[in-house]
Amino acid sequence: MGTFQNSRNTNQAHGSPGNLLDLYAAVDIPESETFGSTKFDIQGLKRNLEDINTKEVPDINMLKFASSAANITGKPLISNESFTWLTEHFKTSWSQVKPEAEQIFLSGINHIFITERLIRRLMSSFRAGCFMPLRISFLKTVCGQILKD
Amino acid sequence: MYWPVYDQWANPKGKDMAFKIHNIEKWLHPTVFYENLEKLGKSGYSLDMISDKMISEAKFENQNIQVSKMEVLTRY
Repeated sequence: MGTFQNSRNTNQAHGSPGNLLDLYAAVDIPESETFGSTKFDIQGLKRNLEDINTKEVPDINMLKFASSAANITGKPLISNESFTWLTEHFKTSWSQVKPEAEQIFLSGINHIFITERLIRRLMSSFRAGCFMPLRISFLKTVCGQILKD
Repeated sequence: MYWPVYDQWANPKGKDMAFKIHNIEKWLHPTVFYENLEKLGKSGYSLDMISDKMISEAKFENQNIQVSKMEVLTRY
């Protein structure tokens, strides 16, 4: 589908009542999502309940739907909307991000990207007095393109 | 590992079950499929899930099952 305009497409198939594997496989870059904070059995890892505003916990098996679809259909890139509502605003430290990122990679996802535009939008929303969940995704190959925008 | 999506669609409540990441405790966790995923994952096995469509597109070449561009060996 993406080759018509020499572009690539992506989707987040989760949330659909259809066969997630086929829906993820229908695009060039399947994208999964992690929402909330995983209860890692890591000594010393900070996880304060008062800083977590959702009961949801990321599940590595859920991430596998996207990575499986890509692996089986020979797609090299699988991305992830990462760290969504990992903690309450401004309460996330990199030490908390690290094991979440590692779990994402272990599920077979190979593509986490930072979207500078979203962060700019977040800052202007902040000035306007509204708050958005902090969404950071890290993308190795597309970083250059995003910085040009 | 085959995802038995038809079991999900055969739910007495109907086919309109959104497979969200926000309600996996409803549709994913209470399945034997998930139990197997967890067991295999904790035992150190990595695997991919597969659908009917992907299986139907698989080819048999050189004693191997070719799934699209990826190769799955049928014997070790």
